[in-house]
Amino acid sequence: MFNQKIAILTGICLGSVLISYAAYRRGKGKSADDYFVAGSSLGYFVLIFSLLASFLSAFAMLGMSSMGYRMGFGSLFVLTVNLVPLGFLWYFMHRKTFLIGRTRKWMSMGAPFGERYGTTMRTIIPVIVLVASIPYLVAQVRGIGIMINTMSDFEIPYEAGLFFAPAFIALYLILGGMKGAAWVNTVQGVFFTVMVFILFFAVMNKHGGFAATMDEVALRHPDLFALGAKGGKLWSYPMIFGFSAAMCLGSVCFPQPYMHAYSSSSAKGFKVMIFVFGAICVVVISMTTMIGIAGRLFEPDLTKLTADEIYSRTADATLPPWGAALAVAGAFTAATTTVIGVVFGNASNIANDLYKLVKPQATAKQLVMLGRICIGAIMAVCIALAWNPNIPIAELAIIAFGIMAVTVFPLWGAYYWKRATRFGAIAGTLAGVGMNLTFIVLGVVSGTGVKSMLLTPQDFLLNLNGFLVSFIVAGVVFFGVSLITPLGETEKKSLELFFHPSLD
Amino acid sequence: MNRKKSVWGKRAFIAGFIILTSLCWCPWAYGHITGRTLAIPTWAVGAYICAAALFVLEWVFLFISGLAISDEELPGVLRDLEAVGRDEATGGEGE
Repeated sequence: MFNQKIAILTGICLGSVLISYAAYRRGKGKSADDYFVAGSSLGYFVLIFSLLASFLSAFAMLGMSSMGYRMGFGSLFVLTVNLVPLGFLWYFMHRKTFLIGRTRKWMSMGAPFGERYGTTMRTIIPVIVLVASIPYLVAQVRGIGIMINTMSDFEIPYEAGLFFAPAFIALYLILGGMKGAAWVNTVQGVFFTVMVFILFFAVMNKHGGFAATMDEVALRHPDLFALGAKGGKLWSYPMIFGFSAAMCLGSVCFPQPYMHAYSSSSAKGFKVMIFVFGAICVVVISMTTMIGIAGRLFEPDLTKLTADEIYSRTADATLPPWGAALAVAGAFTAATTTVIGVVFGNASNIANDLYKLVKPQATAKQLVMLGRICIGAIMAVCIALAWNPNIPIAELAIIAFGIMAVTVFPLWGAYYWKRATRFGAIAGTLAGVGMNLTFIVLGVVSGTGVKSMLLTPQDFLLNLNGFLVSFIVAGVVFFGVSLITPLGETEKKSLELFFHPSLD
Repeated sequence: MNRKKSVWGKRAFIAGFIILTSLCWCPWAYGHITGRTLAIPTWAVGAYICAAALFVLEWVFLFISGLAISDEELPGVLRDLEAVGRDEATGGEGE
């Protein structure tokens, strides 16, 4: 049976494949540099929307509207105002990534760690990125499954929908590489930003405007407007700080800023990219969060997991069928572009950091081929894990960012602390990730739940959440071990480059 | 003298960044305010104001202050870094 919404979605996916392929063919060659970092040739318009699209995702669209629906305005501290510091954090943490990366032809996230701390750290980083990326990717794949399911009016099962986008993503990534992905991200980034605006105004207009809608929600659900609701547990200050810091610092450490720093063609492009990102996030994600809050007036009784559908359901309730299809397609493209960014970053890490260690003489063709195989394998694992969902999209994504955040210490040490040692970097990273994984196991074994253990303040952790404790432990171990261990030859030799006077 | 000035200028910006970041990451100074302004919670308006102030500060630092890297300096910095011998570093991709 012909389904107009699915036809629109398929058309957008096919268009993405064509854009990706055309962008890649326009490039000069098919070197590994071209494939992985677009030959450091991207201008700032492409960089901004590519970075935006590679971060804004099913999490930002479906996840945040679901979180707004369930938990109210406190969600603004998860992915909006708390991301504005990225403007300077990215500058200070990735200025040297941009400058030294250009000089040394870095193509992966492990490269700066390898050059500063040696091969062990260069091996650990891609593995940790992969581990942390999985929940995030599962969140996107799950979001795509939900969208296909709801857009087809439940004719296409959720499980079948899981295969829809990954097939297209793999196709255009295999054909296009980073340059293709960047152009697809840009087009889709513009598209979903416009669609969020349209849906926001449609939703608010349905109940007499923004103020009238919020008045009505406040009357029926005053808890959504409060901090410290539910006996002080929901949006307590420690909980807010834990979410904010994990998300913001996780954003610093995810592969996308590294890859985009390598791809930037100018200093201005780099600065504009990092500056504009936070502002666009505040505007766009505030809207999706408030769409979710207003969604209480459309669907008052959704459960924790079905709340992930509130974005699609409000689109259905406020727009004509083709308009709803385009609005949800906006969220769909957000999910696919993020999958592109994260999968590509991981494929690049595995090919350039791990495989090159095993086979230093690997040719560009072999690296690109391995990258393609990795893309397929990662997608397959994510589909398998998304098959039986039990954690909402937003919380899945926050878990990923929290795990990544522990790598901020070795990154900072690499660029700003001459006394940082490889032992400190390795011990701090493993301690932080190990603590996070321990809390995940503890959450399952104790029956508290992974989500609660990592995200909700726990009495036995001095009212902090698992992430914050892991983060603090990672920092203490990094500094402590660095101070009591000597600098090795690798660290000593790296100082000349990483602390060159021209970088001051 | 100029270098000293830029170091202090940078420190002043960093102090501003830290204060405003703490306000963007936790509503410790305005979270107790109840009521609604512009239809949303007043504390949320406070968060947006802090975010806007930080945004302006970042803009001044990156594009006005002259403290951030510019395209005029870029070729010189890259040239200096390229001069650092590849054989000085180990474990990286240049190996």
